[in-house]
Amino acid sequence: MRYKRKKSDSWFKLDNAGKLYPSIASSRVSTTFRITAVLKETVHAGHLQLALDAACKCYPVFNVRLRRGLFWYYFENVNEAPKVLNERYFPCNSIRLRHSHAMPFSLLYYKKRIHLEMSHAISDGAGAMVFFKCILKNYYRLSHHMTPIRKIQLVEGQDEDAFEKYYQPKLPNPRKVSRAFHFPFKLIEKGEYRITTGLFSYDGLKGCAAKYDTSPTKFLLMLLFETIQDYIESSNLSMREITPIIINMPVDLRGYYDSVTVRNFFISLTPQIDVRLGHYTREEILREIDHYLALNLNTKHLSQYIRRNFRNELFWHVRVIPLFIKNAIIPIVYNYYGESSYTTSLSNIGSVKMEAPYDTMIEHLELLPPPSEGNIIKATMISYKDITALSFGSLTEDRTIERLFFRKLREEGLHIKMETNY
Amino acid sequence: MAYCCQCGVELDEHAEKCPLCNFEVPPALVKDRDKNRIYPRAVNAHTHQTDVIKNKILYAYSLVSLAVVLILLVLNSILQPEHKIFQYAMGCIVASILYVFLLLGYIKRLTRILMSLGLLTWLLCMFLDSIDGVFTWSILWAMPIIAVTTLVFVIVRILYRRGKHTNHFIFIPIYICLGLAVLLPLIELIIQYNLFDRFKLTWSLVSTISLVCFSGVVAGLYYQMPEYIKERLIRIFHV
Ligand SMILES: [Zn+2]
Repeated sequence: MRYKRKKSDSWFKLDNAGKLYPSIASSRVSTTFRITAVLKETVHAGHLQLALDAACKCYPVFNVRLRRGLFWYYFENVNEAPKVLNERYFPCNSIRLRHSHAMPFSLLYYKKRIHLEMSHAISDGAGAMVFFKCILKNYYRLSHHMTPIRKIQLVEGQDEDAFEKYYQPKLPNPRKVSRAFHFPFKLIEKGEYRITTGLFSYDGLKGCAAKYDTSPTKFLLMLLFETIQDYIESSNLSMREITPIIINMPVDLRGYYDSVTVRNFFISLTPQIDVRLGHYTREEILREIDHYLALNLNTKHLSQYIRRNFRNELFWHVRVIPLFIKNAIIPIVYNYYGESSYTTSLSNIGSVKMEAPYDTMIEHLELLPPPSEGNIIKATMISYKDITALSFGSLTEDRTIERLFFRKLREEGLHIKMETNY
Repeated sequence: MAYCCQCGVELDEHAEKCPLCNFEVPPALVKDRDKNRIYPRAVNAHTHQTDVIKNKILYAYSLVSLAVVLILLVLNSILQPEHKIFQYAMGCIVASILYVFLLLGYIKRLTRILMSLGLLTWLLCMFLDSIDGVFTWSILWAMPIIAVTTLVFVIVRILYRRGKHTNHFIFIPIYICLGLAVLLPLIELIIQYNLFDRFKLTWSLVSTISLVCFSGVVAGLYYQMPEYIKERLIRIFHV
């Protein structure tokens, strides 16, 4: 099939969503997210390395190095899989994208945990999950004396740039969003990252959502809006400092378009409430979210967002700027325009399933958001069997948002177990 | 199992306090911290990397400077010139190593760096002035100017910290301009006193007024004007 023709010197372009990420990468904006599998037993590093070697054979699209072109970065396929590493650094900080020959992912382990850290330059959460599952399956097989899976039936289009495929040039731009409210908290040292994870029952969460006649994602989104509203109302910020609360909600487009790509294929939706208009009750917040999503979660509107994302690539005068100049300018533009349009984000990768017998090895999964200087507090959630892990990644010492949020969840009757890295 | 009685959440067995509200867990309930950690004691990849680069720069610079000093010493002993040119050069080179050390941020607090820079500059001036055997300009000119400059910048820095501004792009230039607006008249006073034995301001008034105006305009644009000033401006200038 397609991969067979590829030699070690084959290369491919970064996809549209990932294109800018190597240029903006720094220790505070690492663009690297993390998926963690908490196993029932301590990780065996040797088996993990073999599992990764096999998985890289299955998905050569991930086994690449980042290289500099004159105008853009590009990925070059390599033969050898990277080494698995014992976890040493702060979460989401293991990849140095600006280094020459950077790997776009790294596989770490610590005690009972396996972490896959992956840069958004190559893939999104759903794509990384496919690769991670392959590693976990191979790890299970190796630790049960079975041969690892080295080859899988490749599906056509698994390494395609789906943005390019579904780009419709003639659509008008979507409406611009206004500048979002930002937390006025003091940043911590560069390179550090604070993780606050709450573990609770998925069925319990569904029960809570059912009380409001809504889905778990919308329910948590509502709580997050209310938390930020509470924070704004209790702080004595002047009217000038208050702008709408806008939450970035990434949407996996594979559910809406016919694509099986393991590379980036998501866009950001931005539900919002404007607290300057007055206090919102829970029902009102839910109504705002419901109506917004009903309007935007359809292929007509999603295609508009795809077009906006893709169009930038076609401007020839952007393309012909040499890479080193782009590297100097893009971080400033991105911090100003990209991240300033959200208050925070809530990414939900959903309920992940593993087929038997692999499922027995895993206790639960966790997902961490990439640190970002423009959105100093971000949230992610992932569910496995009956355990949901909701993690806040934070670049500040202030825990007000996490405290208000988890207390609200606790008041709904959920039992929450906290885990932190500090 | 430890619980936070304020948040109602279950805590890690090794947690010393609640991550959400800092409620302290009774020490008897805390299990061995290192054994039960779920994240390792993290190394900061960023500081690690920048430290390496900083050390390289300082090391390379010191090495080159010391080599130059050695060459100058040899030249001095061979040529034995009338003029003390080599002493001046060596003093400056040694001081420059110390400047590089300070500017690379090996000392943590900015106020300390500023004070050290002031002290170093003053010592350098004293040294340069003393080479010909008599102190002339370093006491009358250098000392007051350096002292005033250091003092103004340290105060500006402390006030900036107190201000807790979030937008650094706007406020750092404003504070620097206001600092200069205070500093320049003081320097002119020192010059006037030393030259003519009088206190009179001329050019520094112009610079101070323009610096204050500039900061005022920038701050005004940032904060936007209060309603009553806007109203008055409209009343006066309406067409
Ligand atoms: Zn607490």
